[in-house]
Amino acid sequence: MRPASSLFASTPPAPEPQEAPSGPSAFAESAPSPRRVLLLRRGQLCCAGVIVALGVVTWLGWIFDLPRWRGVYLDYVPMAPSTASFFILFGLLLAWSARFEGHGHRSHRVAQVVTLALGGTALLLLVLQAIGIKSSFEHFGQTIAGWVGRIAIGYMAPVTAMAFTLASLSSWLLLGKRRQIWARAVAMTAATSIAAIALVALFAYTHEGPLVVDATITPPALNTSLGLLFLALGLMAMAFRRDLKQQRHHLNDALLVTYFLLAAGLFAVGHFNYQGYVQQVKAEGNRELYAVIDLKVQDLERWRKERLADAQVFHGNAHFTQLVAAFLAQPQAPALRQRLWTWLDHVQRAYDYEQVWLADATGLPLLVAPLAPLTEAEICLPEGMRLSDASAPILVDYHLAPGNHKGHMAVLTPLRREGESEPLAYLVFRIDPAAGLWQQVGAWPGLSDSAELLLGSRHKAEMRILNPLRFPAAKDFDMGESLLHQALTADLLTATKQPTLLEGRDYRGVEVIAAVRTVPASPWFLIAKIDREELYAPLEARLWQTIIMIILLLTFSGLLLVAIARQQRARHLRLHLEANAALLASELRFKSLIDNAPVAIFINRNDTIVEANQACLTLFGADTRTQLIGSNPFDRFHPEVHPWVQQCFAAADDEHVAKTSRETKIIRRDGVEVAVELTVAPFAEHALRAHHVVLRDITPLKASLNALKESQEELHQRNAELVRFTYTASHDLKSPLVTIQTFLGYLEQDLAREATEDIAKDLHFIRTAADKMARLLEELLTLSRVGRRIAEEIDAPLRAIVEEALALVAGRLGEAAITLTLPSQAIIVRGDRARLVDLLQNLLDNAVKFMGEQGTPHIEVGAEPQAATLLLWVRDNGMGIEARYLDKVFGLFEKLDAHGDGVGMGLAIVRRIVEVHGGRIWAESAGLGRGTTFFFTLPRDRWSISQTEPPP
Amino acid sequence: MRDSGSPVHILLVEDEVAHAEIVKRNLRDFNVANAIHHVSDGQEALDYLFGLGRYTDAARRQRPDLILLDLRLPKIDGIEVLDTLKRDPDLRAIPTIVLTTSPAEEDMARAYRGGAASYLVKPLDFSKFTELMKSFGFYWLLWNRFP
Repeated sequence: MRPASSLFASTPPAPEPQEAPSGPSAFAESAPSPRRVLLLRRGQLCCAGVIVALGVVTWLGWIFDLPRWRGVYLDYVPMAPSTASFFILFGLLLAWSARFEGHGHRSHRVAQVVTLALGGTALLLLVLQAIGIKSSFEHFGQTIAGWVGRIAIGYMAPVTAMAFTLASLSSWLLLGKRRQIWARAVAMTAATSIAAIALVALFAYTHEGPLVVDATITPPALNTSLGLLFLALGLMAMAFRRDLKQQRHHLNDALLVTYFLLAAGLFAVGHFNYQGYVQQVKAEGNRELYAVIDLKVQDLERWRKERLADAQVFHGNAHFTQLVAAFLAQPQAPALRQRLWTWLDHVQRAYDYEQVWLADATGLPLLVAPLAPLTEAEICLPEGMRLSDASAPILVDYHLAPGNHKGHMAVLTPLRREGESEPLAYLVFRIDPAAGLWQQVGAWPGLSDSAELLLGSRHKAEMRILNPLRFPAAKDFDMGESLLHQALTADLLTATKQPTLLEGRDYRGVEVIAAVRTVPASPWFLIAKIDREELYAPLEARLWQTIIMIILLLTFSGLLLVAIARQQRARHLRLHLEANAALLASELRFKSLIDNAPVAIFINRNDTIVEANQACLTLFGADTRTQLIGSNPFDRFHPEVHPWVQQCFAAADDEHVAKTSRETKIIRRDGVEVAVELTVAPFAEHALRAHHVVLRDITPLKASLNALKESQEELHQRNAELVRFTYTASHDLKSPLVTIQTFLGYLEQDLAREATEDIAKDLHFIRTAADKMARLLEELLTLSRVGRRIAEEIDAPLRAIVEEALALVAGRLGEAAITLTLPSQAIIVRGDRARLVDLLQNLLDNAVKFMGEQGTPHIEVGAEPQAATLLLWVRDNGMGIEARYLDKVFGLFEKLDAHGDGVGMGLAIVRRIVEVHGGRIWAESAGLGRGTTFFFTLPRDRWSISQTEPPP
Repeated sequence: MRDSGSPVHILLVEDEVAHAEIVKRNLRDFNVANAIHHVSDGQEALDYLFGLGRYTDAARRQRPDLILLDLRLPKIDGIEVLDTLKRDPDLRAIPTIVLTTSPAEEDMARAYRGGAASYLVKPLDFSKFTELMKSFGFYWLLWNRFP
């Protein structure tokens, strides 16, 4: 809660300088929700459990030789024992962190040491993998031998080693005490990297076979990838848990994770796209090569057929055979020779043979076209071969003539006469492959820098390439050693296999892709090879394209995310500022509410006034706040109410309930006491003992209550008076009635008796009673006419009123001496003139009536202006009134003298008149026989000193 | 023991002359020997009873055997007279009968509380009044014994 000081301040407080929020959510909760903490710990424990389980299962798989347990699928690389051990240790570490982090220092050290050990080992393994060393130490004593593809199993994949290194780094940073933002950021980054790696690997496993970048590098196993994912999640949970208090990180973390997942996704997409392209290119290459090779094979097949066909012409030609036989019989006959030669020449020229020989059965050359010296050695045959080997036309494979480094091929045809088994002559067509065959073979249909067709010939285990090579061979080239040769050997043995591309090194030592086909019915085979580099050239371009695209996308998305983050941050800042402004506005509203409240409110903290509103200042009589704030409220409370007020404060603390007192007194600063109503309520402020005190000035309330009480009392009095009046009136009216009735009875009796004296007496009594009743009723009427209000207000000089009254009682006054004591200035009296005359008349009458035995009766009428009132009196020196009756005389129907002829109402009427005029009347007497003075007053608004009247 | 022939002294406290006259006449008609002393206000009644004021001279006063008391009296109220005399150990033995025009309950209650022996309301009707006085006379002057 904001400090109360700002609530009443006359000026709004300056806005707090905003701490630059390092994250967009600076406007965040101050305390981590326990549910969240619990959730993260549980999550972390879960991940730890999974990892440990994976490790243990794999170990069991290794110990008990259960391939499925360690590798899921038999075709896939299994998790290495080293990896399993790492998982178990990491899992335990995560579990420890979830349960014990923050408790106890000793185990903390252990955890850190373990982390460092793991990290170091992982790094070591990574380095070893990079170099290419696979240490059997990794097998942890298990005898492991085996391969999946070309990968030796049982070794940690380098990717896995890298992941473990990152994991160690991350957990070490998180376990440490440091709170720098970078430490956490790095840890988070590492964790998300691991997650990305794991995801990519898992993705690859679901998409196609193992993610094999290079066939010789171990990929992470399927269960390893899964384990790495959970490891990453566990580490992320650890990181989240650590800094829950500062939730500002969360948006950053979310963005980081998003970015990495995006990156991982992009990489995966790019990778698969690229791989697809690779496959595509390979397939295309395959098609192309095989297309070419098939074409060439066909060509060669045809060529061979053609050559044999050529020979076949002569082989089955009886005519020609006869000619040859004739020639053989007469070798010198020129005509035969010529004819035969012409034949040979024709063949040679038409079919483009290098030479055409005719040899006899022993192999002696007889004729040759074109003309050339005849030597036995000219007919060269491959070593170990003789003319007689050919029982049908055959193609003699490429051979070097002894002494001649030029290679040749030949078609050998035996000539037989029908019916004879032994040929009589042989025809040899010598072919110079260089003349056309090589070109035919070697011509690659299409443009290629490195594509080459190789014609090879196989004799038993021996193979050799026949046609000239396109490129210069490497110095140490030995075909037997070349990998290509090896592959050929293997493949050629299984001629029915699906056409696949072979990969290996050619005679240059350059990596090539090759297609191989055998030429049917011949020892020949054809190799169509193309440099790997050339075939896969577009791949490189594509790879670069993909990489650039990925980079661009990553950059773009990174910028986008940063923009989002900034916008979020700005938004949060704006919201924060708006919220602050709203809060401020609300506070101002409340402040004005409190400040303008009609009751005095102040806040008491530790017996100090810390805040007071405007009404409080007014109540306590202070001019400025500073006069009150900081002072002790008990200075303002009347000392006699201190204990009670303290009780109120204590009660507010204990029961947290507002306590209203009835009435308390406070002392203003100028010393005046004011009656107030006090309410104390507990005021929650940072758990400090504070009270919210409301004081209500009840002076006007009290005044009205008093006035009400007074008027109530007056009403009571009047009521009582009325009751008494009614009672008395009925009683007093009843009395004369009794008299009348009774004496009427007596009168009847006396009339019957004719007792005249008694009759007279009876009549007297009756008459008296009747008169009395009449008077009574009249006076009652007068009294009621005086009423409660003055009928008409008249200004009259006092002197005139007095003189009028005197005139009315003149007769009764008789010899009584009258003195008038009136002030020098003339006094004007306002009121009911007639009633005022009545009043004086009554008093004068009384004075006369109660003169008693006084010899020198003397009556004085006087008036004297006092401070605010006009005092008037009527004084006599008559019989006086006893002290105890001085008040009673004014009572209704009270007669001090039963024999008097009054009804006892006079003074009551007089008092009513005085009261109606707002004055007071009372009697004073020294005692019996000492005279009486009747005093009455008129209030200030009923009299004034005349300016115009001349003094009397 | 009182002599049955000696008169019953009655103190009549009544401010209305006419009413006093009625009582006197009625009781006179009764032919019962009684001496009535009439006082017209409370103060005088107490003076008479206690021997104060005008009645300090013992000759002028006599302890009454019966008191007839009206409630509405000038100077001192009837109830006050009753209270005062009932406080006196000697005077309180005197039976006091309230004779008044007021039939009010409160007056009755106060009278009885004050020690009045009886409460009589003066009837408006002449014959009734006579009747009342006759009964009163019979009871109090004939039947009732005074010490």
